[in-house]
Amino acid sequence: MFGRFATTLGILTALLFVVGSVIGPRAVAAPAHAPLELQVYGGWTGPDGDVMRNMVSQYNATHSSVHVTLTTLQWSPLFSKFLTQVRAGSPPDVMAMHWQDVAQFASLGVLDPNIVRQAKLKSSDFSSTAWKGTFYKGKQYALPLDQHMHGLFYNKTLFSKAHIKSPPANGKEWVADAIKLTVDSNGKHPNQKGFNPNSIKTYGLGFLFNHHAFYQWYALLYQQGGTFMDKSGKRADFNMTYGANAWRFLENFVFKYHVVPTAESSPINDFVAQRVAMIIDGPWELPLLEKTHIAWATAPYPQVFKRRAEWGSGHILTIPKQSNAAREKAGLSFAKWIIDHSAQWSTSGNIPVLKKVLYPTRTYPGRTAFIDMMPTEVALPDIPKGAQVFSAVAPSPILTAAQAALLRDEDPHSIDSTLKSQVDSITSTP
Amino acid sequence: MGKTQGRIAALFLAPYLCFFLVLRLGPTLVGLFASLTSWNIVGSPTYIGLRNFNTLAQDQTFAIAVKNTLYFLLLAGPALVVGSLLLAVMVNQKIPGKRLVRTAIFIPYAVMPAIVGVIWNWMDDPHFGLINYYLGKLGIAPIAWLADPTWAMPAIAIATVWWLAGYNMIIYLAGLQDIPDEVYEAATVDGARTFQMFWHITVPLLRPTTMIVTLLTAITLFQIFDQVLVMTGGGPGTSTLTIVQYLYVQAFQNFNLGYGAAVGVAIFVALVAVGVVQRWYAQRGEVPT
Repeated sequence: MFGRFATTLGILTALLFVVGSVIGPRAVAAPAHAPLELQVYGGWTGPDGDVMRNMVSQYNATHSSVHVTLTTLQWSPLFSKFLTQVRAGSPPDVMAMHWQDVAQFASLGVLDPNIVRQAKLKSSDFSSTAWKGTFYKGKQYALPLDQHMHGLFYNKTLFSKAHIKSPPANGKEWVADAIKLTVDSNGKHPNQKGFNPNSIKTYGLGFLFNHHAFYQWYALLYQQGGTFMDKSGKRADFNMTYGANAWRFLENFVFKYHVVPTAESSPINDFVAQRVAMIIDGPWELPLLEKTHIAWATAPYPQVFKRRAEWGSGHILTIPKQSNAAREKAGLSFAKWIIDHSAQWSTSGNIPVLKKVLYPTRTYPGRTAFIDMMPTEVALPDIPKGAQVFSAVAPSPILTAAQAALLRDEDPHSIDSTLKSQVDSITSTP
Repeated sequence: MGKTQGRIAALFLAPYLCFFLVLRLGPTLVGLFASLTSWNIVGSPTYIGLRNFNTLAQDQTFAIAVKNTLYFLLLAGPALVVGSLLLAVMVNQKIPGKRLVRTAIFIPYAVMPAIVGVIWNWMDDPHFGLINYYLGKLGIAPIAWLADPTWAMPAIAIATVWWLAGYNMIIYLAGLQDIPDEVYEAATVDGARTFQMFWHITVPLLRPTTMIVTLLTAITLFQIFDQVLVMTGGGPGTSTLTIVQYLYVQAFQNFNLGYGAAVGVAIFVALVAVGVVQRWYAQRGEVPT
């Protein structure tokens, strides 16, 4: 018995040795004059991925000494892959992420702020909001690529049918327009007698009931002059009255006015099918809308309270730490090229933040409203536990809060209390 | 078996054993080790003994995930075992278009679970979905399938039954075709009715198959992940948060690899327990294995 086991083990060892020597490093050793192979990771899995792939192809065609390979995956698995690669000692040469991700990865020590300094970027060349998004604790960790924020998309045909001349600019107009645009199967609106909320044919407004609903609440909090976390980033320190006002405003759309389809899962598809007349969504939907035949336009996120603010974020290009300085330099050079050519990136819907390319971007349909919102965009706070606090899947405090408000019409004050305690519990855990 | 034959057998087994060592046993052992550490992937793991398991025992969110997973198992499990058996019996009859029906029932299994989630997201849409459309025709008010904590898990269970029933049906069909026709012929001569034959012949003779189907179903359902992630993300609230999703969130979103590994070990122990119970039941002599 032992003899057989020993034989098997011997064969296995030999086989492992053979396999190892075949697929080991020697097998993939590059020829002496081969271009430097760079790995770039980005979570662009929609039309934005195609745009970035085109840009990478152009870069490869014009730079014979370097060959860039773009890997795209959903952001969450991509970040796991990124850290695994770091652990294995072969990180990607350029890693795309969002502003709010910097704190987590910078505190893990995997990003290199020193190499970014060598790019010699000037803050005056970029949108100030996006520039700020590249910093964590006073150090710049990334090159800013774009901004994307919530805006209002509206159906011009349905607006004209309802005799609405312009998109809503404030809370009152927003509610009034949504009511006018909501029609049941008998042609009645929510403010008319006999209106049946169970047989609505066209809804006035659509939005997502997930973390994006929290983002709307976040914008409305800032519109009242509030902030979410304290300065240390360790406690949720928002004004509960402002928070309650914001939840109540959103809840009313669903439960009081019946102008938003409950638990809507795909506002953009409902918008394209003309089942909703307005939606709150981001510029990443622009490439899809450009291919449809409906008459649509965009407008800034309405100003419901005393000042303008809308949730947003932005893509940035970071250079992960690695021992090979030549690769780091080549990664930086590629990232800078992408930023310099980011006029093309606007075809992905995202708004480039390099000021000199903003003018041509305005010529693309629907972009102007988003460009106008760039200075008032409010980003999620940069805290090391951001991934956990602002997670899009359960157990997530922001998801729980948004769904308590918009699915169950819960008391806004109690939602705020739960949100605060859940966030504080996460941020206080070492 | 001679010495030479043994060596040949070992040679044939070696490729599989290599993969088993590298892709199964190795990661399992690393996972067991990781569960005893505090590890954020990037840094070095720090040995902390059983602290992760102590935390797990007091973790209320993990308790919710366990409860939800068991509820899901209760909803989908019986439907997948009993329902698949009934489907197999149905398509084992001499009916016109039998092959087409078999294919139609099996086809959903060829779809990736994430796509199953996308399809059922559409079907379950409270306003424009197919399910509520037909319920409306029956005079039933629209149900917010994936948004209502009461209905979200049943909706995921329905989608999973639709996805897996065909696979179980094929296993049952193989079992049914192993039952000799003579047994049914003898029962018919003795005056047995269709239901009596099903209850007293088909069900007992299919018991080994049922054991395998039950075990495979329990293992698959216990590891439910893709559909949940796509259909509800574990919500509303935490009403559809399952154990594997919790593992994913801890290990790959929050980068608490050690704690995530502890959740994995808990799942492993539970699945081993299911296997042991099945083995014990089979060895009682009631079921030939």
